[in-house]
Amino acid sequence: MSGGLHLIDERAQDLASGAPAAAEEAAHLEACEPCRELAQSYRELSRALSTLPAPPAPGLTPAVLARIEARGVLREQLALGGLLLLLGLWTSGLLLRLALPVPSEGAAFLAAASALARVALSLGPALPALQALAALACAAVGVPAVFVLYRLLPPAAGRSA
Amino acid sequence: MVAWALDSPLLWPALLRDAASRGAQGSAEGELSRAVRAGDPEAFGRLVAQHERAVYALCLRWLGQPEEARDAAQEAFVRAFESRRSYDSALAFRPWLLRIARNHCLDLRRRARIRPEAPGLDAEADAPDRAALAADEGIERAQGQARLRAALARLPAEQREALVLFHQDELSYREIAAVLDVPLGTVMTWLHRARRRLRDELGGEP
Repeated sequence: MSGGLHLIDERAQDLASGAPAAAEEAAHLEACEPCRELAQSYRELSRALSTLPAPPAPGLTPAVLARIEARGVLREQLALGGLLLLLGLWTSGLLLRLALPVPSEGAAFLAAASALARVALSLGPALPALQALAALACAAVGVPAVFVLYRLLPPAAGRSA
Repeated sequence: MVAWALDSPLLWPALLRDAASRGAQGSAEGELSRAVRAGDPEAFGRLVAQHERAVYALCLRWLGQPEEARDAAQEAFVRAFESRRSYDSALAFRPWLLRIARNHCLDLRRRARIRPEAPGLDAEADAPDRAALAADEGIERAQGQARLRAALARLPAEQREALVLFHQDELSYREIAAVLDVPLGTVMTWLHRARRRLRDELGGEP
């Protein structure tokens, strides 16, 4: 390069990062000391940055695999809890349907129980703790409670006849 | 100063490194990432071993505390495994992983209001490394690295992150843009500003 055109800073950085220099850029760098020094300073900076010691490898593999396995187990437990919840709600609805004298109320309860079960199951992974809690609570309390209520309720008109 | 026109060579780091990444995908890492996508935890373990240093370093830069960074890095890997079906195995694995880690760190910072003054840069240089460096390569070099770390710590966080991803993790411009969720031009601007500021601060003696 004969003279007037110098490297801009960004171009000097790119050359320092290993970008191939065009023929006239190379010629200019040969002839122009300030541009050569600029490119060289960025080359040294790039080298210093790339050789800066990184933190040591933390050895995460066993812990990560253990977490993945634990999440898998939790997911299975949640699925089982959800299934129990669904079963409990359906059983409750069915028993109430048999116990209550008015068929339409029983049907409404069944529909409500189904909707509730669907909502509980669709809470998804965002609320796993709530889902698990709800599933366990319903499974543990709901089914026995319905059986007790069923015993206490007077027989339905249709069935007592 | 009159500038030369900036044409296609400007983007060479992006193009070259992207090509290198695609090449790597055709080899062992590509096989591994396909196995992971199929749900093989052992293959995932090998990927964790390959990338844990970069993920941990990123978490350390964003969170500042080694213990929090360790936990965040583990969680990032678990999230990556859980969302493995969304990973496109034709692309490089590391930027995808680093993006998950970076998003998780941002979530943690938002929740805990963590504002590290100089995220992880001092914590990165643990004592054994410093001592070994001084013994093996001379005090002068150790001092130069300490000055460089201090200058890095004074950079705006996004510029520092782009710089480290480029020079240490060897990501391309495009991959950095994907990790940091910004346009390519922004990455280039950050890198140029960061290098210029470092050069000015260090007075040509990095």
